[in-house]
Amino acid sequence: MGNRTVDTHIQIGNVTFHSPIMVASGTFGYGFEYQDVVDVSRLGAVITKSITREPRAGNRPPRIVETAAGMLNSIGLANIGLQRFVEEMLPRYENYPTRIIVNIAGSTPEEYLTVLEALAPYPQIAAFEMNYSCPNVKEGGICFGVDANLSFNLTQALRNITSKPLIIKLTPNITSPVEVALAVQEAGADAVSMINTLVGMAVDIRTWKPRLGNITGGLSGPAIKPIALAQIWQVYQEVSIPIIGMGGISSVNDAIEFFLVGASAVQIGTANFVHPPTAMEITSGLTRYMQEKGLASLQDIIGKLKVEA
Amino acid sequence: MPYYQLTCPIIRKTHLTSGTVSLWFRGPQIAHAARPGQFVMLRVRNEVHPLLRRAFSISRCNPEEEAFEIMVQAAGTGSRIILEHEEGEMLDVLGPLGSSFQEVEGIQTALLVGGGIGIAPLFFLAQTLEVDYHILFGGRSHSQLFALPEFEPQMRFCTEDGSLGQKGLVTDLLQKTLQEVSGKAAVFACGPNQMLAAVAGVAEKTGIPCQVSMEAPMACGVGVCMGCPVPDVKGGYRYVCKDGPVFPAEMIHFKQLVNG
Repeated sequence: MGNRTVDTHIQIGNVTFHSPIMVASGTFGYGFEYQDVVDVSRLGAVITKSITREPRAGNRPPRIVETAAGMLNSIGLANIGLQRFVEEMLPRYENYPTRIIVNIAGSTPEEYLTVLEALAPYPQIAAFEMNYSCPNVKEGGICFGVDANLSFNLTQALRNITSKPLIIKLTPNITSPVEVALAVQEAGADAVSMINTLVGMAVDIRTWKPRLGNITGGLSGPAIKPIALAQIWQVYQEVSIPIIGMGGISSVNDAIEFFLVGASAVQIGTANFVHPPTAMEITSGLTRYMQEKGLASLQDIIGKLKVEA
Repeated sequence: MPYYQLTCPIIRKTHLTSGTVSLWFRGPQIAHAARPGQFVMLRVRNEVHPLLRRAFSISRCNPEEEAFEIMVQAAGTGSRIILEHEEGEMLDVLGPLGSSFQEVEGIQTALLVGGGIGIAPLFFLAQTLEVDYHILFGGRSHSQLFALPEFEPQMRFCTEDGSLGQKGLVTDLLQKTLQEVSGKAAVFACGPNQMLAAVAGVAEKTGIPCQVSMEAPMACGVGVCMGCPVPDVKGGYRYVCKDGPVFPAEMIHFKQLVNG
């Protein structure tokens, strides 16, 4: 016990990450906004805001409402678009202190393919996370994440573009995520990340209006943690590629629950808004926990949930 | 401009009205770096509910004490919990955040127009002004309004019910005051969107520069969550936390803001 060194590295596709603690898309900007209060070198990776082919202004306000132990958002993938991302952000990533995973979103397969083709060659990008599951964007688009065939086809096409890790972000707004997870695995995805936000709603009883300009939004925060754990456990039993777990993690104890149900890495999302150093603190806490328990590597926790046969 | 995350003790708490308190925090880096118009994000308590931080304008700074002040009005669960804290208790503060009021060259008079608790950042601005100023403070009734001794000679009040000062809206008081001041003036306003729209309208009609400090629901305060858009006259949105909270009034599409 005590100061034994622990190995917290994880492998996703052909890339190694020094820590399994990452920060989730949409909650850490482009990776620079929190640098005054977060030492990003301590994080396994920063996942960028979703990038789309064209810039997006986002949905009409209000876009944020607090709910019981959580929040709803209907941002609508507001982002600077591919061109400005390439011009303004990529040069700044050349000396970035940790790995950058770019999250890509689109409303047609062509949009995903165009963005991935444009970004794949840049060495400063370690991996890609594909957002098949934004609940706040509808116009003319298809939510790929609920259809196993569409997910398979898109993933296969994306796979043909790059050998860098492809992480598919799954939607929880589905009866069972297993079928889609199996489909993207078969199509060559290196990992799945889950869960994205759950479709939710809040109403102002004074005005009788929805509290979000978009009427519905995505629920995140501690309120969704039990759902995330259950869905990850379901998927873990069926797929063999790594699962990157997220959904309401705000402490190291939360993170350990995710590892036990089968996550190989975790992302911190809404907690960044509440307490920006959360991911750093979980990184330290995880090492401490592993030392105390005498665990040499993450493989000693991942999926080790004890269930009666 | 850098910002900080500090655990700050409350060093002074006073009641401004029956539902509004002034909280002074010791927080050296924030007190030294803050500029008028900027805000802080306070964590309500170290639990998962209420989850999100709350935004407050910095209402005064005292560099000698390395202290800054916020004014908290009982509005919802979060603000009620915050204003129940007592001297000596510690709160987690992120700041100073956002843009600040900008100096306007060549003016003789600054007109600081506050609606309700929107008055808060205007006191900080008044602390730093080197020109004559008037603070015009409007609310529904006298129970919402208060004076601070150091600024009282410059303060003018108005209420919708006529219970204190001139009866009517703060824009009426602004128009009246504009007739009295000589030389060039500029307006600095903070309050509800409807009020800011009206004040911006008066400023535009009279050709006076106007800066507005705005509010919107926000989760992060640092330009990450994209939750606090206000419509830009040129199309698209500006973000209150990062582009603002202080904007030149002519940048904001007030008609779209107010009509949704």
